[in-house]
Amino acid sequence: MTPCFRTLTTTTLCFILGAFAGKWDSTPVRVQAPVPRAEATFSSAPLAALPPAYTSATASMEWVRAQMQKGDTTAAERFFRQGTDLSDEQRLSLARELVQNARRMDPHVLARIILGLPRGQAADMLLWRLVSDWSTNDAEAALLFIETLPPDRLNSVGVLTNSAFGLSRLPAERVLALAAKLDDHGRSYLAEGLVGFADQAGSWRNTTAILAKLSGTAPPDAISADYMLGMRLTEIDPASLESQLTAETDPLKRDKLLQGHAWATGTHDPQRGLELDARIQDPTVRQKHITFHIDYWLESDRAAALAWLQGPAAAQLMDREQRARLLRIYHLEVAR
Amino acid sequence: MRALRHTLLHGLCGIAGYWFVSSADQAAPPAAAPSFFKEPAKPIAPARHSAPPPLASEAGLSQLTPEDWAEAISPISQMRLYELPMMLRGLLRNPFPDVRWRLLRYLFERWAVLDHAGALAAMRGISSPQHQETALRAILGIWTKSDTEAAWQYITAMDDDSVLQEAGIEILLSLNVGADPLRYLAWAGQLEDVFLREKALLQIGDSWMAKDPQGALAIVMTVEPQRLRDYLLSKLCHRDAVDHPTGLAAVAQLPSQAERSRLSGEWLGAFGNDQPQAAFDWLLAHAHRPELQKSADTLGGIMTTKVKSHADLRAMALQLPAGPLRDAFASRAADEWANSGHPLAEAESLLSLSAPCIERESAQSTLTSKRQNP
Repeated sequence: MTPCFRTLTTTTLCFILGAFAGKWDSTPVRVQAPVPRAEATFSSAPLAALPPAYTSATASMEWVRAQMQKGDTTAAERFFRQGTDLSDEQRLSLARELVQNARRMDPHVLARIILGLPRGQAADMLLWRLVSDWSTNDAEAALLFIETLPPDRLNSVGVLTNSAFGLSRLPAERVLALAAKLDDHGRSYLAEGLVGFADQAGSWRNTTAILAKLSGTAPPDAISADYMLGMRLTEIDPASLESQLTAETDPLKRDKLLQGHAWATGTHDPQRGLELDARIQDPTVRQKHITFHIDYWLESDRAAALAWLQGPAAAQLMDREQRARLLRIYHLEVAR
Repeated sequence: MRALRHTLLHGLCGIAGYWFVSSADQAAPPAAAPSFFKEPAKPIAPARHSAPPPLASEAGLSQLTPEDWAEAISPISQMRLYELPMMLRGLLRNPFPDVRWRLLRYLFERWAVLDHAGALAAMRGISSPQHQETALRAILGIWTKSDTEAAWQYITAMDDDSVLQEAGIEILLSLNVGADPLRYLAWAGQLEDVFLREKALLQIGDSWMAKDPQGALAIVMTVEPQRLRDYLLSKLCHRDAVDHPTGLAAVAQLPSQAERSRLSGEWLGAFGNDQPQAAFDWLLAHAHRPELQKSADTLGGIMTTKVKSHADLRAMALQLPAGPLRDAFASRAADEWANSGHPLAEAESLLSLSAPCIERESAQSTLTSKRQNP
């Protein structure tokens, strides 16, 4: 082998070895290079401007949006945490403004802001609005957040009924995992929400798979899923509801179905609603329904309602004093 | 000296080999990319010398904000098939719901154009049901342009995910139904699942109203099933350019007084918001009909935001014949007048036009409360 050929061979080998080294070195770096997460932009924002002094929620929101246009995606949170001396009322006003723009905000940031507000009805309502929007846009991420709420906020009608619209789209086992963390009230609120949205979201097949394992009797002060089912089926398929009422053997469930049926029927046809009210077993609920339906009837067809109030059907359903009070308004008297 | 030269020469060759391979890799497709690219790869040279713009990268999409998301539309619409999975990963990491929702549409439209089977598979792999629905809407929008029947078959065969299947049915109905609503009505009427049937009927109604509200109104009273007729009757009044007196005439044909009362209220409310004086004139012309009591109440509330003074409201109330309609109109007007911060004396003056009734009691309660807590 001539020296020239030997040199050519060894340099070629070096080139190939270099190429192997390059290949080995470059591939993993390109694939595994850490992708900067969106959350990390807090520290990498080009200029983390100091929040201005608070003048109004609208002006603050304008500043937040201007910062976001510059790539500073955590400006809203900074407004709450540093640089400004906000009163509780100002924090609440700004949080309201941010929640109004929920789709343009990172829900995790909004959640931290809302949970940092002083506890009260206004802050609770913002939380309910947030979980409603969040679960509507991304039920899976919303569920992960909802699961982290403390029990007193988690087991609330505002959180669970409002999020049911979005949660109904998730696989049954995911929703049941949440249900396992709830108390009786919480499970009842969740079930009520799932049935209430049955014809708008998810699928009835999925919802029934969830409801089948959400067993337990609804607490007396909660609206049950059966009540809600009675209302919804009255609207969309009364014949199917009649079949369910006939087939239901549990008297409590049957009464709840009937209550929902009577309520919804009476808002369309008060006289028929009152006839159904008469069949309700729970005396408190029966009285509430009767009062609502007769008032509604007097407001929509006075002559017919007054004639009914003076007739035998009303005498069977309402006590004399109740009828007399209503008739006196119209300068009429109870006939029997 | 010769040994040193040899060492340098071999070292240089090694560096050249290293550089050659690692530079060429910058333009190569990722290892995981499918092998059936439908578009030719870009030339290596430009990619080697210029880094891709941040928007057209996985990291770029994950960092877009609601302020700059639109800048990604054009790059996404030109992406190559093998780039789309990475872009999807980036987009799903974006923290802003608005950005994800808007760009998922463009990304899956692009994907469906290049490879609709691949787009469907990618859509099924998304874990969030709402993101799946957005992706499915984009895919079906493209697919139905070329093969509606195949799209329907795909959705109706999707038995393993009833939630996605129902979303698909709603999307397909919204895309196709305008052309022939009655064809889909027959199909929907046969669905056994009452909640799915309701969804389908309402979607058909919505699409029909969006496309041809006048046509829907013209035949609404003959529509079957009755559930859809009632839905159309309750919603058509809110559509632009619908003739409210025509709708009110249709409602007047309903056999049940309770239904006439409820739906007249809907129609007169929409009429009043659109043309307050014309709506009041209509009520005046039909004031002999007892089922319009609730409608008079509704219009009384609306008129408080449309007139200049309580004197105008009083004059209107007095035009109505004494009885349930005038009582309802005046009571509601007094209630709203007090609630909107006007002098209580003016509200009292309006309320005095109502005879004793349950509506008056309710308004009186508002006035008393306002007086006690100004």
